[in-house]
Amino acid sequence: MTVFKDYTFIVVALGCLALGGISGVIGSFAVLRKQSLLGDGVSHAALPGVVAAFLLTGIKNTAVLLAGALFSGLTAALLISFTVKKTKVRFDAALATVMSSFFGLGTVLLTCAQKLPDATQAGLSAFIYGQASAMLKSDVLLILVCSGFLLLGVILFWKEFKVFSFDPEFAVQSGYPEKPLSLVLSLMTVITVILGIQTVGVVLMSAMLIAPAAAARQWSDRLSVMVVLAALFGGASGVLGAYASAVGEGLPTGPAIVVVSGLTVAASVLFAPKRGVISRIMKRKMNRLRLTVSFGGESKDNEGRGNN
Amino acid sequence: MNNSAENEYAVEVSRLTVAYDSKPVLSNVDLELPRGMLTAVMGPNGAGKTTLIKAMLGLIPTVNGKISFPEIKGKKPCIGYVPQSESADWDFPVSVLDVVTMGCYGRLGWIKRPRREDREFAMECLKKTGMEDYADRQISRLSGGQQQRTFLARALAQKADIYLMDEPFKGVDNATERSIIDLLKELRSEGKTVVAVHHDLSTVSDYFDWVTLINIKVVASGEVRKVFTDENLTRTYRAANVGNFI
Repeated sequence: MTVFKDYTFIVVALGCLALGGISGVIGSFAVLRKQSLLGDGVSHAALPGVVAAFLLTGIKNTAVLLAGALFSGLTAALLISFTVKKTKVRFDAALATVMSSFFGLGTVLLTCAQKLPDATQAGLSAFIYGQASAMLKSDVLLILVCSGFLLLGVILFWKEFKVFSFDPEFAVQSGYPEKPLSLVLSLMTVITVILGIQTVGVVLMSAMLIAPAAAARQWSDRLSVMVVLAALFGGASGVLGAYASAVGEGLPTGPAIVVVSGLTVAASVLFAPKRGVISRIMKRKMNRLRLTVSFGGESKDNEGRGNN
Repeated sequence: MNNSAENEYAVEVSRLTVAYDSKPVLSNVDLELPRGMLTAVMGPNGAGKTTLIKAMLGLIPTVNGKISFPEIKGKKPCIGYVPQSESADWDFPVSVLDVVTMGCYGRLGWIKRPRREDREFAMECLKKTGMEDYADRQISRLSGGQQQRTFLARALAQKADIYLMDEPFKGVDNATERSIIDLLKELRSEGKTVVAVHHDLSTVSDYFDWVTLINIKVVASGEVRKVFTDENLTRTYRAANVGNFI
């Protein structure tokens, strides 16, 4: 357990904690607004931006690369929404097409970059599956500052985000216009995704956004509790994943984090009270038993009609 | 008309046209709905009833026309809205009281949180709709009628002068329907205006003072006893069977 005393690990773990936490918070709104696939599209589409930013500037500074990622991610998002609005192509088809094209372009650019004679491009391919150990102190600082701003935004506009996610028309009617709210919420999702691609990788970043929120939803019927739980699940997955990646030789961080959060979802879906599979089966059995007792065994017709 | 010192109309709509994909859903609608009365908006499916309500609220883009809510005693009237219950996500993690408290959000303005008095007022609104026992219940565990009453309570929490309701009686049982109409009559006695999309021809005379019959265009609008005639009804509903009748 020497890793815990390792200064580098502590820095990396802090970064993963913040990243997981903010992904849980922002992801909760993305999941509730049924926009989780947007995150998936944006993260895959970020790859060409990362490589292009490097090829154009020759600098391998995280901020520069992420600026490139943000640019191509946003371009893809706009392209998707433009396609849906102006053509008869539906959202899922537009998303899949744009996302895979951008990712393909990213892979092509990456291959070009790797053919460069010097070794400066080394590490770019880590953006595919993520490499937390490559995180510098400045990278962690960037994550902390951005997460802080995102969290502040959610706290300040909690009421607006809540009513808009639940019933957008009513929000508009109450004087909270759709365009800025939906833009801000989408932008927050995009920023979170971009922040995470270095650590978790473009392929799996969306899981980081969706899984903690999906798990947390199982445990609570209150938005505030759900968001806090999602932050905890996300943060814990981040730290555990970083740890697994640190001790497991050559294990990329992204997959490690995602496996942990995937297990959280599985456990939540099975064991959560009320919404969990097991509790629902138990409730149905109890109901059937009660009916059998009160109707003297004549309840066979009602089997399997658990009302929930 | 707008210049009269105290206007007797709650809503004035002039030359309103709304179209989806170049097909008009509402065409040249001129309408004035009286203040302090219960108005039913009626017409066949696809006549543009929901569209009219949403256009009045500014929720959908219009091709042409003007909608105004004349000032009441020198103040801009506050509008309350009861949408069809399907419009919201009923699996959303909020309680009934949370939803009703959202009625106060419009008054609060940006960033400000609902306070305790807002929650207490929301609770009073729940009591008025007979839903106080469900305050803490998660909204996915409500029946259709309970959802409807939750939205009604939320609109009451808006403390509006004019209420626009899209099918407030949809999917509710007789007892609930009675309690809703009693509530609407109570609102009327407080001087509020209610405009509701309504379907049941047999209850119109009982429930409403004013009726607007529409089928893309306004067929007739006025006091129920004058306008709610067989002839007008035939003109409103027959058109639907002809299809793309404009």
